[in-house]
Amino acid sequence: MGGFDWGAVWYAAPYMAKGALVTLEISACAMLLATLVGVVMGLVSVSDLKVLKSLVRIYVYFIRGTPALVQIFLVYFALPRIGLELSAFMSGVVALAFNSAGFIAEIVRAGLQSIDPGQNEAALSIGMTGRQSILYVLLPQSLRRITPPMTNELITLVKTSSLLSVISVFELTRSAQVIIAERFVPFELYFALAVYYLVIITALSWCSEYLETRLA
Amino acid sequence: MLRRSLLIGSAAATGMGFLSIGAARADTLEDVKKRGTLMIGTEAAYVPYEFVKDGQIIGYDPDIIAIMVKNLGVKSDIIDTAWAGIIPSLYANKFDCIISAMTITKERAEKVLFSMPYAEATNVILLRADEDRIKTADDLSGKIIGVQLGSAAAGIIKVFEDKKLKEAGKPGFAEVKQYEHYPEAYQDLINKRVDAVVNSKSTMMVVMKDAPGKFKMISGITDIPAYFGMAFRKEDGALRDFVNTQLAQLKSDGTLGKLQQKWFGETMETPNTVPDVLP
Repeated sequence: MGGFDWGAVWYAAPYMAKGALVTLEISACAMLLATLVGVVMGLVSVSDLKVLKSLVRIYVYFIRGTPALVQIFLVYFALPRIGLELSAFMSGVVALAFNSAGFIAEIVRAGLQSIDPGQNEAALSIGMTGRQSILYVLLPQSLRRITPPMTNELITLVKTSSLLSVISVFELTRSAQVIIAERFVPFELYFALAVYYLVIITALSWCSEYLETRLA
Repeated sequence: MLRRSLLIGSAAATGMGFLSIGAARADTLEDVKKRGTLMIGTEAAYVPYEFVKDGQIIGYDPDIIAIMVKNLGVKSDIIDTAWAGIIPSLYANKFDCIISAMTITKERAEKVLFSMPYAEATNVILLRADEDRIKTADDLSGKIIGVQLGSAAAGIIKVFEDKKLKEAGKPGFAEVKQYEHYPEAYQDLINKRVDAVVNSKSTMMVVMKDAPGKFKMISGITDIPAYFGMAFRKEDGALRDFVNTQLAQLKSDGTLGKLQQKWFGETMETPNTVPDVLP
């Protein structure tokens, strides 16, 4: 059993490529949904909509206070109980997106509140409504500040997607585990797995850096 | 600096661990007697073979273990471990043997030594009680199948798909879903996320008993009889031989039969040696 079994890594490559594709698909769908829901909740957080605001607070409290793994199991096994039958893939997208949205809401709220209050006052004094001030004055300015923590959050999302292996989604981690179970080579394949994730996340970081320079 | 030397130290230790596996080892049976405990690797999530109840690991396997360690004059230390990594853990010396309802398969027999069979492990197909599209195993073509990651069933269904379905010109399965543990697969069968679950018959019988009216069972997924065996490191022939004598004794004096009656509600036919043709 000594030595590094390159053959196993090579043998696993087509399976892991398939798994990586699913990880990318699921992450992309979840990112889109998370950003949409997260930004809306972030905007609500700084608005004057009292009821919605407290609902968002409760939501963020729940998401921050429970492990992602538990949230995934809840979405997967609890939703069918109330008649919502989602596939493993869709359950994965929903669980990841709603997890991430909670954190994105906070990032957006912090970003908006970090803009100098003078900006908001100026917008209001030239006759803009509160909503207009948020959408046209505060949000564009906060984008640059939001990008770095958003990148972090999306990177976390990609890594959290590895937990979906427990609900039988054939994503990158599960693809490696299947070969490990077949070939008994945990060290080699977890090492390869780390490299696969590094490649995906490096690409994601590059996109973010490009975006940041564009926004500068 | 300190951190770096720690890292180098642990890397060296890992390297040595690998080397010692290849080198000739001291006799594990003697080690066990000297130590006073037999360390057993198991995954306690497989009713009725080994599962946790009231904080205790109980089942058919723990009952056999209790008798064997008593005869050996040592205590048992049952270590709950993840199924997918159970053979690598055996070779990393995390325990002395695996007693965890492990089906004797060709692939595994290349990696470990097996004891004589001590339970029957033929795989069957579990369906929803109201399933009317699947009458025989051949109807699994185009369906979604659930198995546990790294289980014998995972290999058996692959053979079935290649040899029975595809060679007869039928499409293979729509999808194979590999679960961390079987209970999640049964849950997904009820939730209609899979159409069939494949696992050993003795386990399925308990599943059906626990959820009356929810499931039905059909055979035909394999025509090679399968058995459970206890697994040892390749170099631990002495420990395996000791266990074989024990099992033969328990079988001939009727103890195994009694335990089977207790846990499965019926006795099983098992051969006295590992069969030549393995699943």
